[in-house]
Amino acid sequence: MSPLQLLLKSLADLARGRGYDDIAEYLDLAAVTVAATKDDKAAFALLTSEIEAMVAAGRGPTSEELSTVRARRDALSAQIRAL
Amino acid sequence: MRTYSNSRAVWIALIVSTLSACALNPFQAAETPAQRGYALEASYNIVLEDALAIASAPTTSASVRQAIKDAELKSTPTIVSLSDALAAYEVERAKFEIGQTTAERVEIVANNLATWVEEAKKALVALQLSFRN
Repeated sequence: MSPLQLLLKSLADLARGRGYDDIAEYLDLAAVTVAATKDDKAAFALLTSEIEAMVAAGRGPTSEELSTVRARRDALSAQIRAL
Repeated sequence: MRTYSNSRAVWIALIVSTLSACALNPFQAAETPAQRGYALEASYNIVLEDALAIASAPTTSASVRQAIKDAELKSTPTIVSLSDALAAYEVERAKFEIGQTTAERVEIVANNLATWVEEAKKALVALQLSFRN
C-alpha cells in the first residue's frame, strides 16, 4: 500500500470514527484511484480524458458508449463468477 | 455547532486538496448526471478488470479469491441499477427536449440517478477493498 493510499485510508477511518461518513466515502473513493496499478492509472487517465471531451462537447454518453461499457461489465462479471 | 462547522470545513478542505492531487479522477471531470453515471460505470469496469486479474492469478489465496467473488456478487447489482437509472434519465431528458414530459419529472429521475451514483461509489470502493486491503 502506497503512503498516499495509507494516508487516505487513515483519514477515511478517522472521518468515519467522528461520524463524517459521507466524507469518509469520498476519501475511500480517492483511495481507489490512488491504489490503482500502472495499467489502471493509464485506464483512469484515458477515461478522464474521455469525460473531459464529453464535457467540452456538452454531451452525455451515447447509447453505443453505454452498450459497450455494459457489455464489458457483463463479460468481466461472468468471468469472475465462473472462477 | 460552531465547532462542528469548523471541523467539517477542515475535513472538506482536506478532501478538496486530496482529490485535486488525484489527477486521474474521472468523477471530478464529469459535470452532468449522465457524465457522472458513465464515469462510474466505466470506472467500475477498470476495477473489475483488476479484480479478475487478481482472482484468477494462481498465487492468489482461496480466501482472497472468495472475497473478490463475494464482493463482485454484491457490488455489480448496484452498478446495474445505476445503468437502469441512467437509461431512465436519458429517456426522460430526450422526452423533455421534444416537450413530452415536464421539468419536474426530469428532476425526479435525475435525483434517482444521483442516489444510484452515490450507491455505486460505495459498491466500487467495496469491490476494490476486497483485494486491496
